[in-house]
Amino acid sequence: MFNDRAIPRIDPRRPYVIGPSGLKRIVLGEEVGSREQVQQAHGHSQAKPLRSHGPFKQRSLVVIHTDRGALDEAARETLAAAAILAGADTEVLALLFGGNADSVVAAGEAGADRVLLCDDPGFAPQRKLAVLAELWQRESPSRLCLPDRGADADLGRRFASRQGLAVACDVIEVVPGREVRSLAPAGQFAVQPQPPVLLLARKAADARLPYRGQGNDGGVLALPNVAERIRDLGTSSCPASQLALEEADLIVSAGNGVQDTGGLRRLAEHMGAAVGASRVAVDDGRFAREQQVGATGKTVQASAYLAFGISGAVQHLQGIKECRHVIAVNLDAAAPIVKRADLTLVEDCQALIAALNQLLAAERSATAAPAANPVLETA
Amino acid sequence: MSIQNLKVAVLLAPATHPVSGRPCAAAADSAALALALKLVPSPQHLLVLYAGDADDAALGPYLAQGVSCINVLPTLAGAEISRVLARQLQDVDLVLCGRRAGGGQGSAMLPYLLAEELEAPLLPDALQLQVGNGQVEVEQYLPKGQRRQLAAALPAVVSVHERASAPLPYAHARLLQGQIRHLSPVSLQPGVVHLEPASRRARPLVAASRASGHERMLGAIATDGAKAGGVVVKQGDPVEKAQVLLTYLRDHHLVDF
Ligand SMILES: Cc1cc2nc3c(=O)[nH]c(=O)nc-3n(C[C@H](O)[C@H](O)[C@H](O)COP(=O)(O)OP(=O)(O)OC[C@H]3O[C@@H](n4cnc5c(N)ncnc54)[C@H](O)[C@@H]3O)c2cc1C
Ligand SMILES: Nc1ncnc2c1ncn2[C@@H]1O[C@H](COP(=O)(O)O)[C@@H](O)[C@H]1O
Repeated sequence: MFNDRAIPRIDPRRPYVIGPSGLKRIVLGEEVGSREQVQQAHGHSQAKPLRSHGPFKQRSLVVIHTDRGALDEAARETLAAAAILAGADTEVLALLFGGNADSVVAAGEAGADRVLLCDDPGFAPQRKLAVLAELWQRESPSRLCLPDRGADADLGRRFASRQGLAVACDVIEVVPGREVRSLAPAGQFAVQPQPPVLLLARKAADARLPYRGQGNDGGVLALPNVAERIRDLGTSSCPASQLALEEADLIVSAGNGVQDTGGLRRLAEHMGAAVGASRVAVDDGRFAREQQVGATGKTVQASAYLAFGISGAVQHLQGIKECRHVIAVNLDAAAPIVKRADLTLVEDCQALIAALNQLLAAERSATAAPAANPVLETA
Repeated sequence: MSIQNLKVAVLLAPATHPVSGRPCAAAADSAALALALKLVPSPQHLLVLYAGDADDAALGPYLAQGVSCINVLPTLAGAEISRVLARQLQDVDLVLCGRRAGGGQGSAMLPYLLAEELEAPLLPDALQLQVGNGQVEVEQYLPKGQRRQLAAALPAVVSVHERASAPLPYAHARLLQGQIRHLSPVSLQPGVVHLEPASRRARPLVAASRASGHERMLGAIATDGAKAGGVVVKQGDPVEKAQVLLTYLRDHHLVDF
């Protein structure tokens, strides 16, 4: 075969492998490795090595309330901090309230070696404290880390004061083996020796780990039957239209590309979303100044931010840094917002808003009809 | 017990203005004061406590906001203040404090420690508050526009969110009329925490990486990991794209319709 050719040709795309010293071309004829595989290995985290193979002698506990089963950036940073602080013989144990099978995998990727799940009944401090106390007793971890926000901040503080453990709150810097620094008012750091309970502020750790945790499923913990001293009379949410933009969870935002402001407002109403706008749309008089999002407007923290006809100038993107999902609708598939967006629809805003309004109205009447006409059902 | 002889205490700690560095009223503590003033017939009925070593001038802003008398327990700041305060609060029905102090360490731990010390329930982050029938009912602030109603039997500790009330008006005349009463000093061990000016940026924990030079280079040119590329949909008519958008929102549990 080989001899048939006068000149052996070299395939310019011949496979290569990445070695410790960089890219290495593979000897002619050898079939090891391929470009696609190598790139995938870099783009995805499954190729990351394990932080530690065990066996473990100690444990470090991380407690997180998931956001509808998902781990947000603060949760990832806390897991990363625990993993970075853990030695090779320390297991990172994560307790996820309201987690599911997907969050077990995600927590493993973020550094957890063993993941325990527990139901999240909302406000239940005594029951959650009991679960945590039992786990603390059973696993006797040397450290507890929680993100210092929301329900985790509350539970961490309750646990530390109940158990009489030293705690550092709002920790922004950990010097391993030495001290921790917390954010204190008036531009100060509060410095103290490393306590067993750490409540971490955002950016206390870099969530991009070069390794992953084992991510073993540790089973489900049941909430014990402990009497609560505080009764939870239920949660309500303010109507999105009355809500300050900074507090909204779902925002429909309009830029220069939106002419049909009436349609956009109707859409926001249908979806129960707050209305935001870019500076150009505000300067134009289409929206109020309080609705401006961006460097000179408001910084928002919505779970979902729908950007209609917004180009995505840096000044605007600054305002949506904390948004978890960004969805862009733009005629220009090369607009800067496309790089930031998790989903981009290349379409005219007016047409898409109209289509969305119709879809939602159709769904509403479809679900409302059987209830409104029970007679028809029985007939 | 009726509302009339309800014993209400407010805990106030002086704050430092973030820009000028001068003493001022902390937003959350003022909000607690505002809610407490609504519960009592007159400011004289309110027990106002501060434990620490700040000088009287630092407490002035609270007098100007309507406190008639502040009781100061002289002790070292940062020590086990919750224990000292708890001793003074034994027979109080309702203790109000700010969610987080605007001065000192500002760790938002005191309400939790105090509730533990008093063995009373803690209702955190209150926006509104009603008392009646021996119980307190609170509207709790939650992020993203959520509000939760909580109720507990008295005695209870309530930490108040800074959004609970607009800033109270400042009246210099009230500052001049107000009193600061020093109780007998308590000696305590100083705390382990010390403050230092945050003159540099905090360094985040970063994992030591054993990646090869080539991998590090790839990491440096890649844009922010997962955020590198979202899905771009170009095909289809507006209705199909609208459907894609709705499916995305539902798949990620971002909407509940
Ligand atoms: C100091 C300073 C501070 C600033 N602060 C802010 C700020 O806080 N907030 C802010 O938003 N901006 C701010 N800006 C302005 C910012 O730089 C941009 O000019 C602005 O964000 C652009 O708004 P836009 O995307 O709505 O408009 P454009 O840049 O005009 O973009 C419109 C987009 O809509 C698309 N489009 C047009 N028609 C349609 C259609 N029919 N269907 C779909 N898509 C369509 C276009 O392709 C384009 O991408 C600031 C600027 C400066 C200099
Ligand atoms: N030394 C103190 N004396 C009285 N009240 C305090 C003191 N320190 C804190 N508090 C109260 O407790 C709240 C939370 O404080 P901190 O835990 O220091 O953030 C404050 O808003 C005050 O209402």
